[in-house]
Amino acid sequence: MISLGIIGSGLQAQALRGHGGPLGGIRLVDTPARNWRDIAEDPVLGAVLVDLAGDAGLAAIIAALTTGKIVVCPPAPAGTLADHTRLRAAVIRGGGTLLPCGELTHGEAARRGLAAIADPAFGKLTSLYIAIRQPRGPGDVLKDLAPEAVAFITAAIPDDFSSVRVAAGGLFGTERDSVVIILRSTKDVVVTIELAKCLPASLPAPGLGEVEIDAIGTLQAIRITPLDSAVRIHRDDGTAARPWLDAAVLAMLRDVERASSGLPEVAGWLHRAASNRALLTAIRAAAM
Amino acid sequence: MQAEVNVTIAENPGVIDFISLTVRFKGGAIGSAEVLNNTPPGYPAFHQLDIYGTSGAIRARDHDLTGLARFTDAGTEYPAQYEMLLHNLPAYARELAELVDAIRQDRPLVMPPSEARAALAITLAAVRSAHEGHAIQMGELV
Repeated sequence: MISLGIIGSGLQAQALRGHGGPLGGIRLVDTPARNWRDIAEDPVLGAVLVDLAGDAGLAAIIAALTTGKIVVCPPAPAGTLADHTRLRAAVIRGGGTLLPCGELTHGEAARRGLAAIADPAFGKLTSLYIAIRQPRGPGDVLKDLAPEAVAFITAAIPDDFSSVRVAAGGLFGTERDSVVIILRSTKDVVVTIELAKCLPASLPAPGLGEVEIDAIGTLQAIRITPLDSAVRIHRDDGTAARPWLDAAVLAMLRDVERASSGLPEVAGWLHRAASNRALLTAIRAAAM
Repeated sequence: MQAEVNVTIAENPGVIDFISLTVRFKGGAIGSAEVLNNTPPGYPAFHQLDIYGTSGAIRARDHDLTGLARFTDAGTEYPAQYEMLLHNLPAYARELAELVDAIRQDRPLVMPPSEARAALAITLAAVRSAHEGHAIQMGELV
């Protein structure tokens, strides 16, 4: 059993406080009357959720990391390279674990997006756009990011793909860090995929990525924008927003349990071993 | 230039209402664009522009009501915020004013006619790529 404290009162903190269900192997210790530094440095706590904006939020994260805690925080814990350096130093100094919800947000975005597309109210899918962007850095995007995109597309579109167009290049370094892929399915759904390791240090946060999904159906359109943590469903008669903050927090807590138990970190719901190897192979071949 | 087009509205047979295209610039940069007019009436994303450079990025998005966001390694700036990105109402008046001013001041237009021609060439190349199913070199259209 690991004890998790809450710092701040942002939406994720509120969602966690308002959650009535069991939290598995996590004991929630909510002490809103204490100041953030006391909570961050409390030796009884093994983990904290920091949902506090601005410099105080960053200071709380650093304090908790320095005391060896698992820290769950929103996707943008640092705004500058200097902040990022301080976070890394705190992890090294204290042995803590930082769990910002970057990858988690991707997983939730994909899960919620697929559910919305599968809803009969969405109508027939006509086009799908997905962008996965990460900070500038080493690695081939077709190796590192394409499997996740292909897994999503394969889940959303049961057709085969009759046309694969690819433009790829190394625009920020020596490796292939940018690619645009345009697919046409046998049932005429056009898919546009953008994969890039192009984000500057401040967008959205050092070490994190972002995902963007735009799906157009005959009856609805859905948009999932970076870090928004919500699916927006646009119909002829208006727009509905379906946030997933509570689910996101719970998913983060599962990560806390994994981290505290020493189990190897598993990728999100869209695991990187994509199921559609034929499509991946075709994309990689077209990029040559 | 590579592109795919689609006709998604059954009531409009043959009328293209979606295009996705990608271009490779001479300098090596890659561009991508989607243009569509088949969304529900309330769809808010009229325009969205992302540009990524080696030293930062800029974004302009209607639905954020943020005219411009500039991201660098040092942080983020929001140098322009508007009610809407596309200032439809004064757009044509500004265009005409620029034309009149250029004539009066005997100077070149800020946006020369060659830019309009280039945009048309890219559009024609995109449609041709989609119809022929292969990449089009812009030089082929000259």
